[in-house]
Amino acid sequence: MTNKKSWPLRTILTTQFLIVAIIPLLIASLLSIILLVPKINHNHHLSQLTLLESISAQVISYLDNAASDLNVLAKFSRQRYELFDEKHAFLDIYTNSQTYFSTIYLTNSSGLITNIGLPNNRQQLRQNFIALDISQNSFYKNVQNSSQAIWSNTFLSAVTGRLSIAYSRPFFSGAITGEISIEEFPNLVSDLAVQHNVTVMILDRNRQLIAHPDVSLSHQQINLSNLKLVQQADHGEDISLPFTFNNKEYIGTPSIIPGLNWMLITAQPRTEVEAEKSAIYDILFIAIITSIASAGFIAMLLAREFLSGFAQVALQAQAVASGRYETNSNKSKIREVQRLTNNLSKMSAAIEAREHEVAKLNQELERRVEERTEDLKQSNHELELTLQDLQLTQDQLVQSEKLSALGALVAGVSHELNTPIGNSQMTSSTLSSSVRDIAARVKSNNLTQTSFNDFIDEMEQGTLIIERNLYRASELIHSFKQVAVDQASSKKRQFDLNQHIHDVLTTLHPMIKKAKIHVDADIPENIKIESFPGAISQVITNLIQNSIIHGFEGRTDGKITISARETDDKHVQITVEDNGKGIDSNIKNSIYDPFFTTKSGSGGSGLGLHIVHNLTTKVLKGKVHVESELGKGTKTILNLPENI
Amino acid sequence: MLDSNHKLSKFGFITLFLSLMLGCSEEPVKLGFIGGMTGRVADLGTGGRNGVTLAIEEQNARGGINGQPISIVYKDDKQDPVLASSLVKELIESDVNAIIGPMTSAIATVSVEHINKAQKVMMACTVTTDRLTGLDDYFIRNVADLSSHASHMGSFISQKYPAAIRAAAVMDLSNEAYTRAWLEWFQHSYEKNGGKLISTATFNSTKDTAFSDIVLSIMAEKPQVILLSVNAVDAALLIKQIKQVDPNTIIVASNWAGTDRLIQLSGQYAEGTYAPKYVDINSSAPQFLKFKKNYLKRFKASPTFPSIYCYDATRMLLSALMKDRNIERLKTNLLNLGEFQGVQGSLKIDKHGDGQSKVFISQIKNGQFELVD
Repeated sequence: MTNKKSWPLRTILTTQFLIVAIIPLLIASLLSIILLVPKINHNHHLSQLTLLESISAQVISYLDNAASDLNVLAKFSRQRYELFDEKHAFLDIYTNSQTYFSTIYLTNSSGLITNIGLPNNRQQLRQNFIALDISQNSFYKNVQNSSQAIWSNTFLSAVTGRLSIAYSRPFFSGAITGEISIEEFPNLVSDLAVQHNVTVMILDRNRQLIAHPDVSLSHQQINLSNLKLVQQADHGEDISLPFTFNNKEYIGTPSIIPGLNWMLITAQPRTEVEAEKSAIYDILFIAIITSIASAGFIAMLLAREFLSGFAQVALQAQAVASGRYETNSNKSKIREVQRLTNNLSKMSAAIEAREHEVAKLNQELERRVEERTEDLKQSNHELELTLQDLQLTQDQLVQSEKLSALGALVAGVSHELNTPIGNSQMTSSTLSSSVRDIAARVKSNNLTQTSFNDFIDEMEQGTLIIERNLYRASELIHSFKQVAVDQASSKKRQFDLNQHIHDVLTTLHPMIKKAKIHVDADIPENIKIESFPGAISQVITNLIQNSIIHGFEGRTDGKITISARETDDKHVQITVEDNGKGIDSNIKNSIYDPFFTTKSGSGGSGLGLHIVHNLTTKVLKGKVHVESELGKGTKTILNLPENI
Repeated sequence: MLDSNHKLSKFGFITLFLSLMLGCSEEPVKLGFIGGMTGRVADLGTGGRNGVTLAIEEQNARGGINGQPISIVYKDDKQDPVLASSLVKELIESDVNAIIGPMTSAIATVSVEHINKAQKVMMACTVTTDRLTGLDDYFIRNVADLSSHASHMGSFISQKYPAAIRAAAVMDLSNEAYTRAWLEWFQHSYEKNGGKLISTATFNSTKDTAFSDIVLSIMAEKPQVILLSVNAVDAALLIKQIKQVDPNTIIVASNWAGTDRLIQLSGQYAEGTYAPKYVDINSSAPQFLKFKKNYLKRFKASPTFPSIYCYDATRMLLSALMKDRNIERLKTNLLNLGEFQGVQGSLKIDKHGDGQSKVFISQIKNGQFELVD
């Protein structure tokens, strides 16, 4: 038997429906996440790259234009150093007439500002800057070293007090430099940025933020080299990555402006970029939730329909089980369940019909049984009568058995008495003849002393013989009398067991002698019991007879031992044991049955052991037990109360 | 049994679902920073901010505060007390755990009343005004106030140049809480040693100023020593003007002006200028070299005095928060922090929340600050 766990239908249906509903959706979700999302990411990246390209172009062209303005100025004035006089008018005019630079100045070979063009509103500060030493500025050092035009990194301008970048080129022995405040850059990129709804950030060579739509952030010299995005872009990777800036999350795409080595980053709020992705996730999520809900709902409905169908079927089956055969009128929407209900109804009808039939058959059977019972009663009565007859016969037989025993006793007694009495008779006739002989001699005076002495001797001997034989006869008679009285009177009295057994054996002497067996009695003196001695004699007699007839059949070496002992509980146990052929185990159970005999037709009455059993249990109130094995003799144990 | 299993699994499913939906968000440690990060004083603000940023990024990389990340909001006060005041209130309202900054004494003095009212700790790193010294308030700093620096400078000059007994000063009114106090403490020890501050010219750095006029006016008095209690950019322009008039003038810049920017902007003119220093920028202490390396890697620039002090201040604040996240006890915890191993040696905050730090005096030689005392 497999011990498989069973589950409720509701659970099975719900689980399976959920599996059916969710697995395809999960696969679809996975596929869309694996296939769709990277595509979206890629498209976003491509669109950002395109945007970056145009912003980059714009920045480059702005810086190129600025540079070319300064280059034109430098070329124009190369041969006319006199233009840069004490009044600075030329540079002031030029500075104010172009749109890029907040200031333009010339430095000498020591890095001191010799000429400076300032916006109109700052010209009164000119003395602050004239002879200012910018030789410590890195861009100035670079120009001096490389002898070519360069764009500087961001620096705090001493002239404007603002973060600026500078375009600087060698000019005469020093350099000509234009400073552009980085405030200009957010404006530069804002149009494109607004148009594409992105934040454009420009980082200088040190990856310090110099342009951001939030102007205040551009001036804070925030270094963004810690961003993974920036680091990876610096390693030449072409990527879009999320990053956090100013506590906001963005997706940024970086690109490096060639030549300048500035970095442009287009950044969009992460939520916006991922709106499309999250829409997909939302749709998938809603689809999954909806399918879970609907699968669950349908499973529940189905389960309810099934369960109510099953419940009805179960009720119906229960009704059938308890003997109610009403048909179910409830309809199920499920055809199979309905069919099951219908079939159950049919089945219940069939059972009902069959039950009727069975009931009818039962009645018939009962009638027959009654008839048969009546017959049996009749036969039983007859049998009882027969049994009574039999018991009567049995009693008669027992009686006749007793009589026959008595007969045997008488025969035995006669036989025993025969010898002493015969001896006495013979001796007395011898003595009588001797008397007559003496008398004759006396008459004839022929009596000699010798012959008289002989006569006296003869008389003495003869009298002695007679006395002895008569004593013997008297003794026999006494025994017989006791046994006969006991047997006839069936009276309870107190007696000595040893004495009694010996009396019995004496009466049985002729039979024992005839059977040529040997009987030993080994009974302790002074076992006094108060019981029915006649019944005990009868039992012993029957047992010895049985041994002779059955046990020693055709044998002359038979030996019977009778022994007795007192047991603790006021009982005496008498054992009669022979060394005869034993009892076949097949018949052991039948030995006490009346009329059971193995000698039927050859003299056995079949009542011997039956009587033994009857007398022991009913008269002597004891127990009898036979132990025997074929070929190993029989042992009969009587257990009798000492006082009854 | 089966039914209860079923319910259990259902419950588990719902729990899993809910936890997936809600996610597990932990409250980050939120800090605020205020400093002037634009304009002429930006070198303090940006340096300080970089120090703070580095300390926080390092701590976050180590797992934040007991597993919770530290976030920070930066506010640029543009050295404008009115703006700063509203920014401090803004930070208090946004419920930051503490505010790091501000960078200048002027801003600190207007901020203190707000933070005391809100009982919010303000951990400053470059504010050295003596007006906030010895007060039991929520303003805490790891830097010593200017008194020791300025007076040390005064006696140093007197001793080094016993003949230079005439001094003039230029003072920026935009950070008067600092600049005036600095001058006063200098004057105190300078005059005790026999010198005399003969005149003080003032200007406001937030407005364009023609420094030549100022310089000409103070130079008319023929001072032997000129004190510049101004910021670095203005100091650079002033030094140039002074040196153009009299290259032999002894110029003493305040700590505020004595930054690398001064050298960058004034070039050769800066040679010989004295400035007291809070740090030994050329220190070769291992922890400083390590800090310097990390800073250079992160910001592609060398650390400055504000970046060092603000880095340490942030670490002190974080270490107090790490011991106990309770904001109400933060002040007490900071005051009880004991000796703290800063990148330039041990730092200590006294019971009034004022720091104790060493005084160095440096002179610009060959385009670099060199410690001379």
